Amino acid sequence: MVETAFERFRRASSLEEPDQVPMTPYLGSDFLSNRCHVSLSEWYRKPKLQLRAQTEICAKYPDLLAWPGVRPYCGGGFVELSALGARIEWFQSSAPQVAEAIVKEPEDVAKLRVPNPHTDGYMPMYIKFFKYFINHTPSSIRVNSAFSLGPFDIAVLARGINAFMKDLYLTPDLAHTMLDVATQTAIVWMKTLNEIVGGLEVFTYSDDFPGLISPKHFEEFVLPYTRKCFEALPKNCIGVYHNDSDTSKIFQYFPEAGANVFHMGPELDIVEVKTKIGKEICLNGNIPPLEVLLRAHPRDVEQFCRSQILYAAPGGGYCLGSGGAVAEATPIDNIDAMAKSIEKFGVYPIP
Amino acid sequence: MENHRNVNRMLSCNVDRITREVKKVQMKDKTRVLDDIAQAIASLDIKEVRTMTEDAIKSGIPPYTIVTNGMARGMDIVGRRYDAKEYFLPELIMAGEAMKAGLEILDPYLRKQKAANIGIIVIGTVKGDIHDIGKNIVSTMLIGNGFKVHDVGVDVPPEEFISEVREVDANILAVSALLLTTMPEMKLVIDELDKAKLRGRVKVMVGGRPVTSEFASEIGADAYGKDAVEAVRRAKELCGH
Repeated sequence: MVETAFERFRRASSLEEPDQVPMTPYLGSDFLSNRCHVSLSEWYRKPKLQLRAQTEICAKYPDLLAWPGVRPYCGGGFVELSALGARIEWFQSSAPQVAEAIVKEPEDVAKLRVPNPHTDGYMPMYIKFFKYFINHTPSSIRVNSAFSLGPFDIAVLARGINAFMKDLYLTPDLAHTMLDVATQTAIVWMKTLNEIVGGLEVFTYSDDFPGLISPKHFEEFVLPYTRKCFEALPKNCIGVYHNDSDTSKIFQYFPEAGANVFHMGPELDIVEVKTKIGKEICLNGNIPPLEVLLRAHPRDVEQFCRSQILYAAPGGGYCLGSGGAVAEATPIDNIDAMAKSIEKFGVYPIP
Repeated sequence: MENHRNVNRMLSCNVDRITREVKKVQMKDKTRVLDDIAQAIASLDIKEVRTMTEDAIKSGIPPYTIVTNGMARGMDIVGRRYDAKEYFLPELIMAGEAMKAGLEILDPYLRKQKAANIGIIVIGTVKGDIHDIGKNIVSTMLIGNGFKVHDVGVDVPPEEFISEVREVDANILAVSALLLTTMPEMKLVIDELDKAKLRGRVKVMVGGRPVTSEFASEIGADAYGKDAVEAVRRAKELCGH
């Protein structure tokens, strides 16, 4: 029996074997805006364009309806940081960026307040975009997925990366204060989106900077906060933890964080990760976006996907995805090659 | 009289021998001080680096020797620990701070010696690209390793890179790109350096997530760094260290 995209994703995230391996390349803003021949600056301001691009790509690859789902793109955390008071700079060919740290000196931490998503920064704009999606999406598509930056990334961007990394050593209390505010911000944002959507079914926390710190620092400065974020998710909402940096020294902690799915980067060895945590958390990834999806021939993409499926899919708990956002010039033939590999090798039971 | 001359001869030999022995001890002490500085940096101990650097100056070790044989060795240890995944970004940054603390103490002495820096680097992100996190980490590490760094920021056109290289008399130009669409700009920077007849004395190193060593060779760059630690190693090699 052919399952819907959502059923398939839910079963994989519950560590079951669905009818076939879900196909979940992260076709993000770079890729989709390029397909629409618009600048990123235009892309982030036009929900109509985003909805059309996603509806078209989901018609071609239906599993994307489940993850990353059909939703407004909020690129790189500018929405969350703007609500905390960061000045945001807009660029033609990049996602909007935090122009300067909010907490330049330790005493600036007093400026940080958990935002009101209905009034602060770009959050109201994003809420409007979500409402547009809900009112204009075909009835066959559920708008039930959203993303937020994770607490560590929020704190790093609010403080500046060099300063925050020094804080971990020199002023850990300051780091913890910032992480508290960041966690509450991520949770209040998730709860607001949950209300707007009428019940989130998939939520992704995107937290890449933890890949740059030691296991000891991860235990102290990331794990407790990430756990709070996942604990706060609505019941039955699938929690996805995205981190596509080199997490080879910390991935063993991710099941403890409470996520159902780990969206992993290309540097990890799928065999090692599956062996160590594959029975506790669903793995999503980790085809290299540049070396394989962008640069390789479709035939080689198919073979790479085949080996991923053979290692990671038996027993369930695996989605064939990209190890991070797919690069903008990635040939569509290579995404097709992923789909072909599932048809040929990814139908359960997989030997 | 003969006895007196013999005694004097013996005393003189003893004094020479004792002087040689004292010098050996002093050398050992100096080596130990330099080792202590290296270990203090590797242990990320800013206070100890300051103390040991002051001791090193007091014991008469030339300031540039303190940089190369003490501090730079400490940063090498840090680099190896990073490669072994024992140290991570916070440790690199703290090591850079420890070295900067030592360099602040040495600064007036180095100026006198006129050997302040291992090299002078202009660093920036190419035109059309505003990513700077990696570039900023590389800058910090280069400063921490004794380079004088002139950061020209992001979205930098080729002419601006070249103008800064001329202005500060740089011997290395470090160029970063984080987008596939902006990588080709790196070749334009190298071409501009050529046009300005500076290519002969300025080495070019490139880096950034989508950049590869093959791409670096294709465009005629002298070095490629896959991360901040490798960038520092390549920069030192380009300066003959």
